[in-house]
Amino acid sequence: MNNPQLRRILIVDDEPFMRATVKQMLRLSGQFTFEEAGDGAAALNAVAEFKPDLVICDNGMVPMTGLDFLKKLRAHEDEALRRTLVIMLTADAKEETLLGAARLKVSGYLVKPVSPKKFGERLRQVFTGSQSAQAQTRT
Amino acid sequence: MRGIAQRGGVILGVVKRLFEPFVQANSSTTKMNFGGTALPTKPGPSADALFDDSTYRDLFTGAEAEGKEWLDRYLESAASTTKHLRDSIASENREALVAMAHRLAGSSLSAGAVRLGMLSRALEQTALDGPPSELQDFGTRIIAEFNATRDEIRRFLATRSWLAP
Repeated sequence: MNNPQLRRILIVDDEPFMRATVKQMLRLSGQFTFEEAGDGAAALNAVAEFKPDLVICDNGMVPMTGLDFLKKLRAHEDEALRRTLVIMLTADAKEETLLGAARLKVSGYLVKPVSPKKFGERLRQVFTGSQSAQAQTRT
Repeated sequence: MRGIAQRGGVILGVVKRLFEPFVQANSSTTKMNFGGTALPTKPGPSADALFDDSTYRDLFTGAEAEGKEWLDRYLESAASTTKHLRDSIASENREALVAMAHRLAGSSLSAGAVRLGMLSRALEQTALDGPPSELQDFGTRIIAEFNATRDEIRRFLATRSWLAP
């Protein structure tokens, strides 16, 4: 779990069953180190401590929604944390939520239920895109 | 009318351009309604299934013990959410009702409890402005659907028990 070579993923969902589902999909998609948070406030603490490569975040949480968490993350005092990759995984497919997520520069928006195959594909796309961006920055 | 249509076309184009790179909606259960919310639609061939085991099989083939634990966790969570949902209907706390219905829909559809998930999603859409009698009816149907789903999942697990170590 603490192998520094592995990608670090933070799972944020107030529903323990959904966190278990995401963890299993991650196990099938590759090797990752992961942490969990059950609400937005815990997620902000976890981001600062765990420094994830990617956050997979629900939206329908109380009192802090996923988008509220994301706003705080994008305004974080630590610049590196502000750029953390985020995939929204939510049952909320309302246009206003999609637009809000796009404005906050999410890397993916998956609507529950999502199949393990689609989840894995999206994960690979996000990390591939991230590597390309880093390579372009270095050149 | 033509102006509205043109405006709608522009909005549709903008939303498509913004989201095509990263949106992955489950096309069988969700359609985009660019005038408002995304509404549930018929979720494919398993729409009437009490329990569609395809996600279970995708996630846990060869790991039956973990799969049983996963479904037990779903049933425990859904039982608790259903109780809170019933309490929210009784107290007419509509915001809590929306939250509970949303939670039950997301977890049920993810677990393969399709009928319960779709019913919860329908309640979520109605909870804020539906008449109390309709919400009571939803509550009754959801409890009955949960009980039937739980029995179906237990039957399914019984058929898989010999695969677990």
